[in-house]
Amino acid sequence: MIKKLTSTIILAGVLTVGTGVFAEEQLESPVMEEVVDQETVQEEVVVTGQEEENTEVISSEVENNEVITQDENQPETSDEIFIDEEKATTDVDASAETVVTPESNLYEAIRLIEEAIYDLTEDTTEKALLQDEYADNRLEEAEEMIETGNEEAAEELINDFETNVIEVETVLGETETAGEDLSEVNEVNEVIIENGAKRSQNLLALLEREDLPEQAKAGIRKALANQERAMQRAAKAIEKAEEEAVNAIEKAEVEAVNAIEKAEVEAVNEIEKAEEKEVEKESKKVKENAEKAKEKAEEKAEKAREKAEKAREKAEEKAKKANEKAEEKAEKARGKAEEKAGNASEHAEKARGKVE
Amino acid sequence: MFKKAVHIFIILSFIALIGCSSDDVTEAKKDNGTSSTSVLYENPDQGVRVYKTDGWVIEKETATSVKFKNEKMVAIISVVPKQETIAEMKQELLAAAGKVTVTDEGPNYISWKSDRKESIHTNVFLEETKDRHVITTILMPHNVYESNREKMEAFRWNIELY
Repeated sequence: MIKKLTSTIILAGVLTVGTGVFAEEQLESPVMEEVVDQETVQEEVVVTGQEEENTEVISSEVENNEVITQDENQPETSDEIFIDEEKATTDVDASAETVVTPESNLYEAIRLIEEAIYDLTEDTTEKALLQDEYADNRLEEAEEMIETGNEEAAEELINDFETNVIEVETVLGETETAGEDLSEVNEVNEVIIENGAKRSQNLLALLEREDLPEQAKAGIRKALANQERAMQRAAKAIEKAEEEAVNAIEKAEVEAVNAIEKAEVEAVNEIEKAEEKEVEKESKKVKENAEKAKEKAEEKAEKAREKAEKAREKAEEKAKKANEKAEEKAEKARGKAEEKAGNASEHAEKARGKVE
Repeated sequence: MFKKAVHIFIILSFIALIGCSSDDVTEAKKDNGTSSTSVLYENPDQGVRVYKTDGWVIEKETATSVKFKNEKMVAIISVVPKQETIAEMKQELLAAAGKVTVTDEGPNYISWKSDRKESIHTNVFLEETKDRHVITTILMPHNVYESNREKMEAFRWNIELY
């Protein structure tokens, strides 16, 4: 009984451990999963939890089973995967040495990456430069394919090259009609002419090869014609832009001269207006002074009038006083005369009395 | 009788345990940006399955690759025969990228940004399986790289190789 119980517990334990292992494995990002050699009889199974930093190593015996494991070099946390922008970076131009051809397993992925970069790019001049770069790539790849004798692939690449050249034209046409910065568009056209000239030379060199079948040469001729046409278009665009620039300069000069003339006329008018204003101001001042003088004169006359009035009043008062004084004197003289007359009559009375 | 009951009890307990473990897996997936566990793309021949992830849609499929899009991001999953080493593949991809600046590199990972006025950030994750290599390339304009990291991670999380 104990034996049976023990065996059940062991079985249960094995099941638990097993379940736990697979449960944790499913928690990992599926991208990190990897299938290892089926023929492995004994190997290490590395199990890493998504949220754990520590790696657990469990040995197990496996026969003819696929063991899911994580590459031990794979970064375990997103912090390890993603770098800080401040980290040292390396400038690379590996394309200068290696040409990846359609014979590569990665070629399709590489073309899709190119396509994605083109789709994600918004600036039209940048788009034109990308197509120009892709045209370069296609021609290099075609040359490589011709070297290795894969003429079918070379023809396809020449066709793709043409598509890129036409796309450059289309994008730049849109840029020019959209009225984008002409100097920038001109720079792009110059790059396209420079690169196009090199490509034309390469295409001519291919045409001179005797080992190429006529069909391939026909494709190259067509591509060369397209390339030449694209270069002519770019040259015309530059010419047109230069003409437009000259016209713009001339127009600006004429506008500047007109502006100067207009400014001069306006200045003269302003001066005249200012002078008129000055005259007006002067006359106004004179008028004001006259007004003031008149006011002053009136004030003086008023004062003189007041003074005369006062003198008259004073004279009148003086005359009145003199009159009163004269009247007083006359009154006194009359009183005295009356007194004298009274005295004389008294004397007469007395004399008459005496006489009688 | 009692012994049988104990055995049945123990077995039932372990079945319940297994059930709980599976449930944890589902929960964990849902917590990591997955809108549902339904499949967005599957290629049984290549052994690739991509679960639905917010915003991501299939744009096109070729013989060895499938291209997805999400606003200003593009993801490409390519399955190629195991003929080269990961280091050789990285070198080849870098060679085809033109003028770029490598911003980071690990044994199974490389990222770079193009040396252009409008720089594009490319992240390449290389996985090795029994008989093939799976390359996941995620591209986006460099100026939105920081803000789109989570979306990129959510997408990667939902790729399953089998």
